Amino acid sequence: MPIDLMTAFFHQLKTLALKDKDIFFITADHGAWALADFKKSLKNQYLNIGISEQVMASVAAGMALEGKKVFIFTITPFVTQRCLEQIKLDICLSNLPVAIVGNGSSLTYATHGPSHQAIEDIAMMRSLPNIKIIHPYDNISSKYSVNYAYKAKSPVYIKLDKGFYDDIFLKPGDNIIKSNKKNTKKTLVITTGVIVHAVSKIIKELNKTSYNIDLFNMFSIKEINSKIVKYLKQYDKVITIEEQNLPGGIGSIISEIIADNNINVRLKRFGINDKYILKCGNRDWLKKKYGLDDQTLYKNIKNFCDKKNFI
Amino acid sequence: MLLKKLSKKIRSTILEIIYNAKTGHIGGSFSCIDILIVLFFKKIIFFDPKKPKLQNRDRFILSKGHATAALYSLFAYLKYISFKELKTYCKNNSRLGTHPSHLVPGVEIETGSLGHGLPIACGIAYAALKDKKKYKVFVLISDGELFEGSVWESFIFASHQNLNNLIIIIDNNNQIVMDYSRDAGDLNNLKKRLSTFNFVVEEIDGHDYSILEKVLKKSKKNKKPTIILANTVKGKGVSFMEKNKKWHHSVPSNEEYIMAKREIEGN
Repeated sequence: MPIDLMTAFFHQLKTLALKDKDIFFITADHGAWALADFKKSLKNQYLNIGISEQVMASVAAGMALEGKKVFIFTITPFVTQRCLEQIKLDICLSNLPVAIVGNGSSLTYATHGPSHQAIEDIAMMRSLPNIKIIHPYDNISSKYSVNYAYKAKSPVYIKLDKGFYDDIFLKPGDNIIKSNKKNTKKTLVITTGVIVHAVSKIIKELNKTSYNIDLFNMFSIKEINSKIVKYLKQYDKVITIEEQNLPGGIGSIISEIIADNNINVRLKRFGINDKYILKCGNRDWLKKKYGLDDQTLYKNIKNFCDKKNFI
Repeated sequence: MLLKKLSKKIRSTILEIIYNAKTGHIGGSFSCIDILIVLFFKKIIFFDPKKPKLQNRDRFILSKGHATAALYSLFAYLKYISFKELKTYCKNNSRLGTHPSHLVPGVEIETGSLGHGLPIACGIAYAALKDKKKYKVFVLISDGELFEGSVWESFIFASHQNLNNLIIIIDNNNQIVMDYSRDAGDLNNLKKRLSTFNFVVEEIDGHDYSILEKVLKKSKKNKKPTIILANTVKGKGVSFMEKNKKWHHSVPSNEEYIMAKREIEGN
């Protein structure tokens, strides 16, 4: 039976926690199907601390000082923004290896409104020194994110999505899919998170015609893969696509890399254009409102690839 | 050395380093220094300045982080740091700033923004109970910190988890930065309100060495988390600073410095 991305995460966490009693899991009263199994098997390494994210982050810091590997967990905005100062001062300042697990990446909680959606978290968390940010996109990368955080000697923010997704790459981590066409005019599309599944299908369609588009998916968002600089130099055009607010997101990261390395490339960023939508609907409906649905993305990628005159 | 004599020396040192640095928090340092003296010089806290990371040491967190003039002066007398280093207080490239740094031996973690030290102490205490470790966790907070929601979240946590290895001392000097605490919010009947949690609550004079020693010693044997409401005076020891709103973080002028020095050393 297929399992979802969250179940893959908790299965792996349980596997490690059974071997290492210093692994500890704290939830601020937020559950998951697969968490019940962890709780049942590892009662002494599990705590529901109640709806108190600030104390959860600080308690995790105190436990980390004493050698515990603590995973803290709740809905993304609450575990990142509600306790941002605790993450900064109590965890990042001392470089304590706490794993901050946000559940419901980007627009996952579409029907719950902007209070539960996570479109600003990359911008906020990447501004903190010492922390690493990783963004799983399938079950293999979800399991890998547990191992990554477990081994890390510094804080890690895991931007964890929900739902069922096919494993898209053979290996977890940053990945590139090349078209292997020989045309000279090449475009690179850069994504992060589960939107990579939709974008890869769009690129596959476009590459069936005259287009020559490669796809790079960022798993590691703070610790930037050194290959990105090399890749950016090989393309005429670069497009970033993210289910995130544009200021401070991966489009910002790529534009910083381009500027810092004097790379001569045309960049177009697609994402949430710095606004909140207060009406509700499901994730697909909300993505359409923000121009991140498959049809709009197809049109936008194609138009940018076709564009010749940039002045 | 008698504690009273020692407290004069340390108060004098606090005054000197703040006067020399032209920055620091003198009022809150004077209100809490007697508590710190008893904690460390009466060996309530088990510590070894030669082995600051000793595994079974008691942990101490200065949650009211702005009182480093008191903490670092005390640390010089305890030989955690040298008096020579103490003179670098707030100078360029010093590890001694107005708020604690874990670069300094004896400091477990950075504090400064209020309402952080107590929940961190809760995490340390919780981990110790999980691992059946015997050490105690002492945390010094200010009454001003009671305005922070995270402090009350911590009370709920410590009470619910029965962190009987946690000793919370409130430096209840009744003043915040700009005003008296009562001007900003209702902190009345604190003992009664704190007693609604699963705590042993003691209310004492935070400048009385014998009471402090007795209650702190007892706290190490309590079967519940302890809260000691230590009633103190902001600016204690210098009459023109006591209970005066000016002296949260003002730096004494040359004249004020001489007057304060005379009063501390003369009494």
